[in-house]
Amino acid sequence: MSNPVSRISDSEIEILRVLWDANGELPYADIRKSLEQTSKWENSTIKTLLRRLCEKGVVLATKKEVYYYKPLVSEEEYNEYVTQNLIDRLYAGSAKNLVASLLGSKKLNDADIEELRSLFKVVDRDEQNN
Amino acid sequence: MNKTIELVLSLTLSGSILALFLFAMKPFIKHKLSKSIQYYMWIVVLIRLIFPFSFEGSLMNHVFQPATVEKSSQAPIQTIAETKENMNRLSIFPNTQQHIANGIYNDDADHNQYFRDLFNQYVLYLWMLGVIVSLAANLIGYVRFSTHIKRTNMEATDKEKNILASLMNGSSRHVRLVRNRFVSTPMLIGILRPYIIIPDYNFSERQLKNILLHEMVHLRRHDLAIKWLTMIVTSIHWFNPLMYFIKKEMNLACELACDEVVIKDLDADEKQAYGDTLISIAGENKYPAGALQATMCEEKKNLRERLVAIMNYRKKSKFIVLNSSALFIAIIFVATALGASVGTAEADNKVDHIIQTDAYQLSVPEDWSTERLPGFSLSFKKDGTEIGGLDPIAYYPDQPISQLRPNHTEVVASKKLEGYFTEVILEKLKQTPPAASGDTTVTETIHIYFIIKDKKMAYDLYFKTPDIDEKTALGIAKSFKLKSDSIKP
Repeated sequence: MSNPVSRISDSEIEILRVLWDANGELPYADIRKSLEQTSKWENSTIKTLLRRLCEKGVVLATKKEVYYYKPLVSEEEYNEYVTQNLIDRLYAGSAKNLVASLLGSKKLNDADIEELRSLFKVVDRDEQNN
Repeated sequence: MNKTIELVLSLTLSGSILALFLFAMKPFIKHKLSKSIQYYMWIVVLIRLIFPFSFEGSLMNHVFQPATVEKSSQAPIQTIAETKENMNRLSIFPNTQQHIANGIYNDDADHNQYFRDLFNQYVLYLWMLGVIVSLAANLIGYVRFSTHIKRTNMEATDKEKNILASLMNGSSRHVRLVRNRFVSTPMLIGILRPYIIIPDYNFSERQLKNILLHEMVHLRRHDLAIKWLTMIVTSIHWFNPLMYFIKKEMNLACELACDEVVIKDLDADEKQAYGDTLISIAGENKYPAGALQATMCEEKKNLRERLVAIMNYRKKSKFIVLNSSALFIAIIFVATALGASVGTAEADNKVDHIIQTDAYQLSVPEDWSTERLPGFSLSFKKDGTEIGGLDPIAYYPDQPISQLRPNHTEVVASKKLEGYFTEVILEKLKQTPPAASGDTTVTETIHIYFIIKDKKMAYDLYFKTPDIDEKTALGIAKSFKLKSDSIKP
């Protein structure tokens, strides 16, 4: 399963920023008010973006008297992911060839690791020979 | 073909042959020879690919040089209508524009010559562009990575630093240790002052020791320098698809050789722990890997090969050490024999000053001055003194070769030269002035006679020794060509 953060688009981040700035949950009207100052998005656009964020599991909508929206990913988590992703991508490029690393850039999955663990048994050859 | 392109192509061909040889040998030597020796063999390939060390008899010189001689003698002879001496500085590229102006392509019905010149003109630019793009892409990628890493590095704990210090005991070289939560594998990075980065995991002391031992072997063996050299070589040979495999093989060979040094003095338990460390780090899944599942196979294959190498490691017997050394020397020998197209020594002399007459053309070193004498004769001067010349002389096929020699000469050496458009004889002569003159100075000269039988004439190209050595003389002789109308019967 891939990280939900990886699927956030640039325009969706604009919505998330509003939610992060609010430090908690916001009703739709407040989100639109904040966005009106920075963007020219239509009502329907904002609604679509919010719906997609909910579908991706990044934002949670709770119905009280109106819908309230709450971010499930913190700004720190997002930034961490972006940095990680950036460094991973940079490392997977040419940088990999210019550093002496212990292992390659890609991680192995659990099945592969199990297979290697069961394969790797050092036998003391000197003892064996004696 | 352009000299630079010729050299690069010869290096690529030479290196590729050597690399294919190593790839073919791999199944037989993989588990037998020391991994370090195998790594050094790949370094020889790298050196073969970048340093144009060669000697005149090398294979590549044979492949490239005679071909160019043939080509230049078979090339369409230029028909330049100008009667006065035409001194052109030979540029690196044949100037197509100028050739069009001079009407060189007038007889070139199928435009072959035109396209060949055009290709030659741009192929060097194309190659250089590729080199620059490749170098720039690599450097930018590296700089971006290292700046982002630097920004997010955290100091390692004192305990970790102490472990490093205890492993470094005796070594004067200080190496910094940092943690970075964004890297997924321990690494050694940096050009002037390399430092070790470890991921922000909770390593046990034993794991950390294993990691540091590995990176310190990289440091001590200057593997980073090799990696930079590999990058430069790959950029120079960007057009060679084999480079991609060579680079991958070098990276694996480097790790295998490094592991070998680390486990050399370890007992079975420690070796097990070292391999387990590799497996745990490979399995540390801090962030789920994205969609790039395709490369996982290779990653796993490489790690498996390393683990197998650790399990199978045993001290090499004297017999194997001896054999590996012999094989290594053989590789160096093959690398040298393959050589590069450096040209023959005479081609190295700067022959870059063309003299054209209606009958012939030839090139002489730039610092010579030439005087045209009546009857298509030439006189060469260097720093004001006469050092040689060219004379057309009558030749009678039924008379001995001595007819070509000046009077009062003694023949020191005489031989036929191969590879010219016509029969060529090289003679070294000693010349004494007539006794009556009272002058006893002996002058030694090299004569190169171009014999054109069907025209009953010969060209005598001569130089005074020791001012001009044989190699320079031969270099000039190589450039001597007749104009088309004068070869036609």
